[in-house]
Amino acid sequence: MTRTESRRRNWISPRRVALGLTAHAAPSIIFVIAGIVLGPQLLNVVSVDLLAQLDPVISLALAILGVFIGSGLVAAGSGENRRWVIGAAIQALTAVASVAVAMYLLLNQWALPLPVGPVAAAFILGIGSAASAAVRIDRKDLPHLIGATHLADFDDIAVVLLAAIAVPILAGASSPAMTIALGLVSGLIIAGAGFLLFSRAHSPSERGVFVIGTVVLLAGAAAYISGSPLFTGCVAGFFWARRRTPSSSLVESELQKLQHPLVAVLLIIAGASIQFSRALLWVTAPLVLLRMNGKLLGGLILARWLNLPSSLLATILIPPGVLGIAVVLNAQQVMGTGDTLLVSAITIATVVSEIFAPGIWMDEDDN
Amino acid sequence: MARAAAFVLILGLMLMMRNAVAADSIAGFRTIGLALGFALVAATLLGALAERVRLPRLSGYLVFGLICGPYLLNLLTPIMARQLQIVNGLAIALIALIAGLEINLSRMKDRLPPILAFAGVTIAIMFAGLFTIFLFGWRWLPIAPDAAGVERLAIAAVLTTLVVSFSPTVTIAVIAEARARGRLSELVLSVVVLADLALILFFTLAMQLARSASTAGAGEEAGLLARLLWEIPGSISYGALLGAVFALYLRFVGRELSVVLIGLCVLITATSEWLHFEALLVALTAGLVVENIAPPRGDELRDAIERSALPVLVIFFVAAGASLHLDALAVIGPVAVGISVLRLFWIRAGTFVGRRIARLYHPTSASAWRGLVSQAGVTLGLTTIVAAEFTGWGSNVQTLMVAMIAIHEVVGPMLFRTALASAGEIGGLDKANVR
Repeated sequence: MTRTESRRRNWISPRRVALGLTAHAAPSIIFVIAGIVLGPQLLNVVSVDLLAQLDPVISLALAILGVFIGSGLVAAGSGENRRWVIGAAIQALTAVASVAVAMYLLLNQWALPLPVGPVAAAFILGIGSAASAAVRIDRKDLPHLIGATHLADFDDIAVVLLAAIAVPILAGASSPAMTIALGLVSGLIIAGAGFLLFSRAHSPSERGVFVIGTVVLLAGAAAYISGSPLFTGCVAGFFWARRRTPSSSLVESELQKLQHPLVAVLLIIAGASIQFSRALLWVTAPLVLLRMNGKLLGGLILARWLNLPSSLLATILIPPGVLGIAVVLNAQQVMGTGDTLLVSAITIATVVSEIFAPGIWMDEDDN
Repeated sequence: MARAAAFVLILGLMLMMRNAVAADSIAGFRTIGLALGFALVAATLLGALAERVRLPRLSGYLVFGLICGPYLLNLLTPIMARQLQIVNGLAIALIALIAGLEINLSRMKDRLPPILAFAGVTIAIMFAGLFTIFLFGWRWLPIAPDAAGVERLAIAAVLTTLVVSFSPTVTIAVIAEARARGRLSELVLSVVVLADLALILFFTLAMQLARSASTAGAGEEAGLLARLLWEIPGSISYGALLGAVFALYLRFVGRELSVVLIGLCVLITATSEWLHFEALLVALTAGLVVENIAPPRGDELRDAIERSALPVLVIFFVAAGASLHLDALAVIGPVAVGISVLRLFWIRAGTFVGRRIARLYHPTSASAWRGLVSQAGVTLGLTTIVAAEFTGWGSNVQTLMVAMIAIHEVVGPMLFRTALASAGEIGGLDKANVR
């Protein structure tokens, strides 16, 4: 691959922000900067009150992302993909563990003012750092590249499961296990109702209401029990795709139109939520390095097992996924605190990692 | 069968959720999604069931809100019922815009003078009849039995204005949902829209009289007149401007119509409140301008309206049903039913005389009274103003009106739908489009 081609693949080649979604080329930085400009720090068009009112939009966006991830999971579930799914889980957990442990030690040492305790803060930052954005691949691409891209794609599954555990704990649920079980049951019930309704709607507009109503219900049910809308959506998406009925394609075609606007809205909300402070600098700088370190470590662990070049794995896994920002926004919601240090840190770290990614790719070429 | 099973699943989910977590103990954003999703899916199913038994779909939505609302099953808690009202402004603007888009003045040109005469006579007879009854039967009304002289006249005028009022929103929604077109739809729509304009005028005058009688707001006459002069011509001008811009967009861009349509309605709602205009009138005028000056070609706008309107209407009417004050009906029920019967009598009398004076001999116009029974948001809004300003008798008027609205909001759409069905106008819009 020439230097020019590699540069094009990183900057212009569209990326999937989560498993199951279609790729898009617009870099996150554009929307995050738009959020900062529109937010309370500058123009105050997206005021603190408006941000509070947009909370249900975050839940809805997460549920929709979950539906796509669940649907993508069915496609990934074939026997030949199993080792990529396991590999992706290993690299995601490696990133979470390395970021969380190191950040805990730093936060504990520095005694910074945090919205939650240092253990919870480190864990949230770890989960938010785990997702990678996969580049779009073609069938004609090299098998190594295809494999590495699968790893970047499938790490979302681990993020969904970790979010399902973390969100009820952060919300202070009396029984997190019960909340997770309720989230699972709700996802299945709503999926069942949707399955019965989508293909039997009397008109396209009625079907639209059923699809939107069902997804809003997925988001609403999860929010109501202090669960993760990402997880509930994922359960429903998996159910619909698994049944191999028209329901799945009907949902996807209805939701397809919403996915990119919702991702843009999520990034704008994240940008508007950023609160600049000295503590933010102290958290974000090590977070960027630790995330990169975690992804490199995950790549090294997997390289020998999957027989892939570790440098290739590193360059594919480092570009961050927006899913991380979405999960931390969800965590921020349930914690109910006005201090947005963690969202701010993850958002800036995501943008910085996105900017760093092509430099690393070029270094690989140069070497 | 599959739909019934889906309904049971959704209902089961809601019961499970409400048993798992007490709704009162959780923050606002955590309840709104559940309420919206539940209302969208389950009320749509009940609306479809209502249509199967030849009732308006929106009666299904209303009944759903009523049954699941705070006064009966309490699946939708008072907080949730309030949260569902988030779409109210948007729904009113969207419904009025749809109504404006359905009124083609060149098609109605010949029928406009008799329609105006019919509306004027009907409203005048209703007002005169009810006002007289209220004055003579004052001692039996649970409003202000001790009031006498000018004060009694003023309170009776305020009460009569509220009792006479109709619901343009519900009327337009029934027509839009039934995709009705024909003489009856046009007649009823024109009467309720004209009555809405007249109501604003009457209400302002009656309130001024009440203020003078109670000396609560003396010296505000000039301000009120200025407000009236600003509100009505201002709303019409602003609506015309927005309609012209929307027509240009339709002609030269014409993309993402669903989003632009919702955006236009949000703009109308937000800016009308800020500019002290009436959103209903702004949106109606905007629709009229589009339809009569630059009518859209093709089906894109129609499809966009269908896609956007259904979810908004579902939520709007579920919210209305959930916030119907059954407690007020229980307290003041017999009096409210009695006045409702009187109102119905005067609607029939007014339309009977109005038809003769306006020479509307078409048989469908005999059913027009059935389209004038509904009362909803506009009346409720005005009632709230009365209660806020006159804490004594105003609160009594509010209790009575809220109970009457509960009756008329449920009965009105059903009556109107049966009238449209008898006139053979249901689905008339589709037939016209096919032609």
